[in-house]
Amino acid sequence: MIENAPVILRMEGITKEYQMGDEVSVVLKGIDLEVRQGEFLAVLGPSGSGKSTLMNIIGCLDVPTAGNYWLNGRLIADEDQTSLAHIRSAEVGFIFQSFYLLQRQDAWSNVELPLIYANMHEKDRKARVEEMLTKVGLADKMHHFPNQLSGGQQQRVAIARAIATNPTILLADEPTGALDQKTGAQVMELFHELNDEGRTIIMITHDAKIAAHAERIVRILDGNISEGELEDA
Amino acid sequence: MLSIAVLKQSIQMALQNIRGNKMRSFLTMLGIMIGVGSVIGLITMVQIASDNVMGKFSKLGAGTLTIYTYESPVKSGLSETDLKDLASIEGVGGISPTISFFSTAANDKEAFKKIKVEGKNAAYFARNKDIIKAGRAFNENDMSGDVYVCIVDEQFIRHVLLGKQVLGSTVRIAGYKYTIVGIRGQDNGLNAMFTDTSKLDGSVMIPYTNALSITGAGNVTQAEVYTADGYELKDIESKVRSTLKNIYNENDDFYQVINMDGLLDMMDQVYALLGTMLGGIASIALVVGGIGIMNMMLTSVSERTKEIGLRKALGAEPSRIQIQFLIESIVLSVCGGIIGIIIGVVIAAICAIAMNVEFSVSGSAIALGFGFSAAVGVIFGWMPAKRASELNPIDALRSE
Repeated sequence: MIENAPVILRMEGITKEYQMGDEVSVVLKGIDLEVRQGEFLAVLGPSGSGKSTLMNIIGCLDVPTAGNYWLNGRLIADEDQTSLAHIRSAEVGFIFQSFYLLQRQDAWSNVELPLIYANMHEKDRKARVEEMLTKVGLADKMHHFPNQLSGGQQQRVAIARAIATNPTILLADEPTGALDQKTGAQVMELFHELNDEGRTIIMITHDAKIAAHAERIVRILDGNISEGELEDA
Repeated sequence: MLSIAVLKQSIQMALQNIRGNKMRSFLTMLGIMIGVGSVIGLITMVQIASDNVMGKFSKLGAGTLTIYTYESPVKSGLSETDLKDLASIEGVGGISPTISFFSTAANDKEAFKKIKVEGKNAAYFARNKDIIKAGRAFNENDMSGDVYVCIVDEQFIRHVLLGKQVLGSTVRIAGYKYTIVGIRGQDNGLNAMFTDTSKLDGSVMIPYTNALSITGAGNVTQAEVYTADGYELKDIESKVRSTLKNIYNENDDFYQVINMDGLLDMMDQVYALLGTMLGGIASIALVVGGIGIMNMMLTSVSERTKEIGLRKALGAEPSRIQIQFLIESIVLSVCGGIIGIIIGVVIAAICAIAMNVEFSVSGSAIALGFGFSAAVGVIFGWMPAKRASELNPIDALRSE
C-alpha cells in the first residue's frame, strides 16, 4: 500500500556547504531521497555524519546549497525566513531529544503554541489541544507544568504538540535519547500507533536499536546516504 | 497576523517573565518609575502653580486695560473730560477711575490713622459684581459728589468698628461723616494684588466724585478701561493709546497702559516654558530608564535563545517573535510607567497640600505618562526584539 502512496518528500542531489574561514566544508554531498506518505523512516548515522544538517533541511530550518527539495509538492529553495516559518507551520512537526517544552507554560499551552502560530481559531484550538493530549494519554494532566511531569510524559506532550497542526511529516531528532529504556520503548510504541494512523515519520538517530523500530532505514555517513538492511552495514 | 490570541499570549508571557524575574524586573522598572514619576510630578506641580496664579490673575485680568499716569509738567492725571473721551471710544464698555489716598477714620472713642481710602464709580462695581459681600454697591445716584456713603472691608470692621453692627451705621472718615452701605471682600484687582494691606487699619471705598471733592483733586491718576461685550481687548487697546497720545500732546512718557490679557498670555507662556523645561530635564531619567529596559531585553533575548529557536521551529514568523519581545518590553515599561504616574501624582499632591493650593491631576498628564512609557518600551525594545527575530533557528535551537 505504501509503495503506491504518493511521494511527499523528494530530494535530488542535495548539497550543503559551510564556509569555515577560508575553507569550504561540505557536509552533505548530493543526497537523493524519496519518502512516501505513511512511511516510518529512520535516518541512522553517527555524530558528524551530517544527519543534523539533513534534518535541518528536511525540517525547513535551513535551505540546501545546491540540489532540489520538494516537500508536499512544493519546491523549497531560497525562501526567506517568513516563508520557511509558514512551511514549517503547515508541513513539519518537530520532536526533539530534550523535549523543548516551555517551562513556564502548562502542557495545554505548550500544545496550543503551534496552533496559535498556524492562526487557528480559539474554539477549534481548544478542541484540538484536548484531542491531542487525550491521544497521547495525558487527558488527566493537561494543566501540569513540565516540571510536574516525568520525562516520558514530557515527550508525550511534545509529540502532542508536533501532531497538533496535522503536519505532512513528523520529524523526530533522537526522540528517546533523554529517556530510559522503558519509557523510550513506550514513546516508540506511540510512534507506531501514529504511523499506523497513516502519519509519515522521519526519525533521526545514532542508535541502531531505535532505528530498528522504523520500517525503512537509510544510513548517513560523511554526507552520503545509503539504503539497505542493517545487516549489510 | 497580529491576532488577539497572539497579543493575549504575548502579554501573558510578558507578565510571566516579569514575575519570573521579580528583582531584575523591578530594578529595570525603577528607572521608568523614576523617569515617569518625575516628569508627571514636575508637570503636575507646574500645572498646579500655573492654575492657581493664573486663576487669580484672570479674575482681575480679562478684558481690562489699566492706565497709570504720573505727575508731569505737561499734565497731572486724567481730567473728567479725558475720562469722557476715553469712555466714548467704540468698544469701551466702561471706565473706572481710581483715586486712592491714606487718611484717618474714627469711631466714637478713637481715631485710626492707617486707613486706605479709594474713590470708585458705578462702572467699577458693575464689573466686579462679586466684591460686595453684604449691603449694596455704588450706583449712579451716589456720584453727585456730595453723597457720603462708603463700603468697608473686613479689616476696617474689625479695627474701626470693633465688629459692631455695620450696615447703616455711620463712621467718620477724613473728618467727614459717612454712612456704611456695603461690606466688600477681597479686591482681585491689579493694585490690590501688589499692595500689602496687612499693616493697614482698614480700607474703605467712597464714591469717586466725592473723593475728588473732599481731597480737592481735579484729576485721577489711574483708571481701568473695560471692554464692552463682543469686543476684544486688543481692539480697543490701540484706540485707547491713540486717545491718550492726543490727551498728552504726543508725549507718552507720563502714562502707561497695561494690557492684562497680554500679561496673562506672557505668564501662560512662562509657565508652559517652565513645564516643558522641567519635563525635559526629567525625561533624561526616562532615557536612562529606557536604556535599562534595553539592557534587560537583550539579556532576556540571549537567555531565551533556545525558546526563540523552538518558537521558530513551531512555525513562528520572525515578525511574531519581534512583536512578542516588543510587547514584553512595552509591558515592562508601561508597568513601570503606571507606578511612576502614581508616584508622580502623589508627590504633586503632597506638594500641593504643603503649599496649600488647590490640587488637580490633568488627564493629559496621565496620558502623557502612559504615552512616554509606551514609547520608551517601543524605542528601547525595538533593537532587542529585532535581534530576537533575526536569530537563526538552527543556532538558536542548538544553543545551550
